[in-house]
Amino acid sequence: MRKISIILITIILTLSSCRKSPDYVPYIGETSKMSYSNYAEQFDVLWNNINTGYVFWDVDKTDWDGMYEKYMPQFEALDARYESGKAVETKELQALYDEIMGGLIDHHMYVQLKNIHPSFSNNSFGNNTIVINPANNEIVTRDYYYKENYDMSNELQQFIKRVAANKESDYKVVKGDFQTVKVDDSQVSLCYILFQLPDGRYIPYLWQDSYRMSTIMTGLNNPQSRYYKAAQLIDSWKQAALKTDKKQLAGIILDNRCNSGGSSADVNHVVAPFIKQDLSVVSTRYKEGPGRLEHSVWSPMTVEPSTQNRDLAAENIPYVVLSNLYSISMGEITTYNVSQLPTGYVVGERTYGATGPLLPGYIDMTYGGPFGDMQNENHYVYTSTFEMQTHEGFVPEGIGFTPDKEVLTKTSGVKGQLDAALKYITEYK
Amino acid sequence: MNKVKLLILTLFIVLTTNVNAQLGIGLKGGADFNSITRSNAGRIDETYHGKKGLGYGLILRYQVNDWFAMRADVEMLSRSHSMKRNLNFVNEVYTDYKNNYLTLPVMADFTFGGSKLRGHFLMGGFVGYWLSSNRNGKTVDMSMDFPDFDEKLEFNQEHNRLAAGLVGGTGVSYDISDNIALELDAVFYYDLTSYMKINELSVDPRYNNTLSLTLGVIYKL
Repeated sequence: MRKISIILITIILTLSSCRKSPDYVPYIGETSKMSYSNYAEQFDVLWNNINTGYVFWDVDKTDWDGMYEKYMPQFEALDARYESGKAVETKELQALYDEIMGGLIDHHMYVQLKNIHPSFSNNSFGNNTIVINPANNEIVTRDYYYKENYDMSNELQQFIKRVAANKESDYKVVKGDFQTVKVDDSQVSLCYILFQLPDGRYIPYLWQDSYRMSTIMTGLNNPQSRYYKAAQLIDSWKQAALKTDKKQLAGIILDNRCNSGGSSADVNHVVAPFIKQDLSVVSTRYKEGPGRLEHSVWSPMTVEPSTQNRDLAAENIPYVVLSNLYSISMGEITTYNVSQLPTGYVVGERTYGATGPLLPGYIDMTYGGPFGDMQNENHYVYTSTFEMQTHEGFVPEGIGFTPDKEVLTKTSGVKGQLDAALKYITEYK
Repeated sequence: MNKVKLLILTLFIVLTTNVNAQLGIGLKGGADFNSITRSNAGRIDETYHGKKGLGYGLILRYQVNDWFAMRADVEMLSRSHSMKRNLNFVNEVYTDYKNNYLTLPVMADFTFGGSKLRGHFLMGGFVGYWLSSNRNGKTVDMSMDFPDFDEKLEFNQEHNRLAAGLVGGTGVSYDISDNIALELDAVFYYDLTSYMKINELSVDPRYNNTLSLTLGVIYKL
């Protein structure tokens, strides 16, 4: 018995040391682990932070381990080259990082990093920054892609201005107001138009190029505020939509085309006034640990009815949203929210696909989101903090939302899309 | 490999050809107390707390001789734990995991003592399978509210549902008749497999440790 016991105890003691010792696993944004002095270490820091903090690993098919195995030797080779006295050009690094990160599905993502050993010419001409924007790589592959966001926004803005001035539309324009206001560091453009149909009914229309309504509306009752005129514009649209008699109100239009997104609280201005019951059609989750699939539970993004509200469904009043390729982030989330209302309808194009909200500065809470600092750490990664899914379990990141009626800019133009929305309302029963 | 098989066979024959070999089967039930071993790797602020649960199962014991038996149990264990966040602005966040594990410990059973009341030591290994898990607690949402949740855990490819490790313990048995014995066991399960899969490029293992306290009845055939 003694011998057997000794043998068994020896086996057990030997096996008990078989638990794996943990490696060092940095969590995203851990500042003490952000420094590096060569290209391989720089790649290691970026790879590790994205490995542990990226919120879309459940739907993103990028072979991230494969990227490490394939590209780490290449960065080590660049280090060897630099140490032998030969420069590493920024464009070489750009090409490598494009291959590594250019296919990630996070459409909010952009990555900036410095060539830490720029050649004289790179440094002198300020060309030592690498920028990766995965969404740009993806949207050009869509068959309805047309031109860059900036150009498209300008074209749309000029068109809307002409409509507001009653110089473009086939429909009668009763009121038209176009405002531009500075919110934080951004210029926000807004337009309110009140259309009138031949039968005398009205259609209040609102366009804005980003969602900053919650900030702008703080100036509603203060003529001294720089937000005052823009707040009055938004309120005109809201009041027309809320207070026009049912017989006089043909429908409402919210134009989300070329809307680059903004505050998630703005659902309180474009959705909450038009519901009678809570609306929970999307939910979000964040990372709750360094594992790629280690997420929190899903939490619904519930919109509660405003105090002043109108039950569009009960009154059978159509609420039409215009969307295009450059309806981004909140420009998409509000589109989807409205589309789920009983009388909601979307006209235009499939949206951009940047649907995961961001919460910069809360990495410690969420194990994810933007990290780095170009000044102090030579890199900055702007990436979603939250993953979003619809109530049907669809994660629209990198894909976007498809409209009920597709009207493409490429074939119908910005006017054709607005006309389709107005026509839908005109013919709505 | 053939040598190992031969050794096992020889050991089996030597032990089983002894006199008084007797098979016993039984039922047991009780409580289990779990804890998690995880390093600080990759962690920000979470702390882990063990939880207790119910355990029950079958006992199969083959008494080889007066002092030695082989034992193979089938045991359902809870192996549950709680995770709590500690940062100031999320310190309301926690998750209680209530798990269900099917475990199959195989143990050498060394007995000693008198004729009716006998003590024993158990040593061996186990394999197990993580059958299901429910999680409830409080999370934080985008509005910085802290909603409650209670849901079934959907396993993903990072969950390692197969468990294996060492098992050891002690206990006493009391013969209340020629065929029936009561058995009180304290058995400790020491996992050698992480319940989250280990990525080769970032090793962050998490291990269960479970103490099972059970009272059983064995019928000697």
